[in-house]
Amino acid sequence: MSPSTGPRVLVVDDEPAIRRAVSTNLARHEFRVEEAETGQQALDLYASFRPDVIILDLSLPDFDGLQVIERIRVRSSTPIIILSVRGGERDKVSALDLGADDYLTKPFSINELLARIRVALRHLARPDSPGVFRTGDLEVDLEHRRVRLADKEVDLSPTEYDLLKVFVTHPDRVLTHAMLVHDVWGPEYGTESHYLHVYVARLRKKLEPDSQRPRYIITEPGVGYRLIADDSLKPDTT
Amino acid sequence: MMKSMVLRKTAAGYVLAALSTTCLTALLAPFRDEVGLLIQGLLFLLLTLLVASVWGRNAGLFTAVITNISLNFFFIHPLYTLDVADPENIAALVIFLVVSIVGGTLLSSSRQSAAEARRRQAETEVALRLSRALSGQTEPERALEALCEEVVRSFDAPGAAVLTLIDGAWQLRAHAGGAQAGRAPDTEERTALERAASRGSLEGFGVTGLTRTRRRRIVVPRGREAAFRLERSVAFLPLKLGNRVLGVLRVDGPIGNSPFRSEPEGLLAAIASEAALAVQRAELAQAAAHAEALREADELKSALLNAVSHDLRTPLASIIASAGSLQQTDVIWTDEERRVFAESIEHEAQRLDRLVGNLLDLSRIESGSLRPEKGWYDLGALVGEVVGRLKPITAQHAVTVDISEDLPPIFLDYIEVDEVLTNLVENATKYTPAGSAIEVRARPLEKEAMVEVIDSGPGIPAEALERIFDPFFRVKGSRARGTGLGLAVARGLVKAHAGRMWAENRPEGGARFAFALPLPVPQEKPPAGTTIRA
Repeated sequence: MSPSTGPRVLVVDDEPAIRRAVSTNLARHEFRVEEAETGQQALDLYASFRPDVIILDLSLPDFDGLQVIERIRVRSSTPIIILSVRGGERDKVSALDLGADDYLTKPFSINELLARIRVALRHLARPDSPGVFRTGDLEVDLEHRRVRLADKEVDLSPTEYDLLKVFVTHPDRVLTHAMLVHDVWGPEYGTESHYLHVYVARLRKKLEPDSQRPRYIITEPGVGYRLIADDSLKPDTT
Repeated sequence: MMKSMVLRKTAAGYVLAALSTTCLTALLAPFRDEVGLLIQGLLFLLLTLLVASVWGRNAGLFTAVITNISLNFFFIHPLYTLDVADPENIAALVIFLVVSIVGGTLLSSSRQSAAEARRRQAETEVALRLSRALSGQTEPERALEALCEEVVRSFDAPGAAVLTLIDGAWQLRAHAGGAQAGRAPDTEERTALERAASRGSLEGFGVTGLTRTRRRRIVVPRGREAAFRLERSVAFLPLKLGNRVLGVLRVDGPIGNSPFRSEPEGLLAAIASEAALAVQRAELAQAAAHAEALREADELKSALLNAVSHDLRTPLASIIASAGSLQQTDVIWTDEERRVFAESIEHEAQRLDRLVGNLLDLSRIESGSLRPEKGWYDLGALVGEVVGRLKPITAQHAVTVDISEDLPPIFLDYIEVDEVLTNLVENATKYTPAGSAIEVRARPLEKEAMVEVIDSGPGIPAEALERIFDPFFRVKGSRARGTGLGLAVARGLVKAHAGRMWAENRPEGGARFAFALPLPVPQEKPPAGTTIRA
């Protein structure tokens, strides 16, 4: 009953009830869906079905979901959204560091999952070439290294700009501390995330209307940061 | 009054000295004229020296005086008076007195110092033996026992024990000696014990035998025992390390023939310091064991929490996702889709309910508060009913049932045994491929009724066989979803029926789970008129 034209989503979960709920919803939202129960099935379907997005559970009967991420990342950058009952920081960080794009903890809301799938697909459609990134009042011109907030030029230090650039090129994605440190300061800094927190605080001071309650660069507790471009992902401000 | 009834122990020496003097006098008196004064005097001197060497200096002095008087009275003219006619005899008497006093004193003091030397040597030996015995003990409680044994041996005492204060009460940690050595302290003893601990001093008392007139026992405070013939005594020695009293050593009396009989304090002090160290080691070991136990309990708790949170969240996630789907505003679901979501919610809620039920059972099993409500039932009928009820679950498998005709009625809790078999059958369907055979058998053994669930699946990995009944244990790499509670609960329920449960791999492939419940012994047969329920 899946339409033959929509984006392809692979749902990997060992729980039939979860698979059924997710795929029924996806089918109704014009996605083409395939289900996999085990890691091996997931890898086989990945090759034959060529999904645009993968929804992956970490606890699989044959091997760990983390291994699935590793094997897929060797071949491609297909967005992977982790959907797992494991909600610990360490689980999130290791999945994201291995290349997962997003992480949702069970129990989850179907609406939120659908929103995250849309975000993943939108980034897939967006070309990687530098251009102008806009969200809310924030405008980042990657070609001319210019940042404007509500049409006013913002003065950033080189490191602040480099950090913002990493966020802007990965909008709506959870970026772990390790990824950000690696991309901005280089591999020799390892897991030293002290500078990172300082620079995120500076960026927020310059960009956020209220740096105590950021709307652009939000904290993923214990994991990292995320630049919000899609309004449906905005955290509750209540 | 007490003194009239109880013999004075110290008087014994004097009485015997007086008696032997009288005897010697009576023996010599008839020959007073044949035996010269010299021989007579020397014989009395010999007696004096003997008494001094056996009963000590004071008895010796006493003998010196009475033999002198006896010599004067019975042997020196004029007879039967204390007058002395011959001045030479006066000198002889004086010299005799001086020689016997000096001789007696020397003898008794050399005897004392010899005894002292013997005791010191024995003390050293005991201390050495003790420290050797204690240093060889790796187990602290064993060390305390070795210490008590050494005390019993060194003092030839009826018993010895080490007591420590645990949660405000004095408790026996180790003991050695006769049957009485392991007793709990009585009121009298507790008073002395607490005094020893609070003052840090040696405390104790003695108890006499039944008095002749009043038929009762007299408790004699420590320090005054010498005056009484005691039936038993007890001494409490505080075990101190610095100013801290770690425990109390109880030494039961009367102590027998040992070098420490007269002055036990020296050896007791040596023992006390060794014992204090042993108690401290025991305390430290206990604290370490306690910390280890806490750590293990903590680990178990977090493993349990992890497993439970995973197993509770999984069905919850399905329920929330299905319910959330039904509430989507931008989608209009078909009746079929709606039914699937509702069914999913119901199934997962039931799964959650089973999990919670299993968890509750497990906690009841582990806390020992399981109380089977037993009645007489036909086990074969129970097996048939469970297999019938589970048909929806076992639809994918070829299930056969083989129930022996001669199964007697069994006294059991129907619901619990039903749950045991349900868990086993569910387990078999979960862990074996669809289409494979499952056989459920029930038959009597010699003293038990056995129910088996035999599958032809992949079997149980050897390393998991032992642990398969542990709560939350799941076979690694297994494709089935389970909580690891079913088998643990099943085994717990069978145990609550005084039965046993085991699992094994069949040589021809597949696993065999079995449980056996005790058959009623003849006098336990259901009373006539009892209805056997199916």
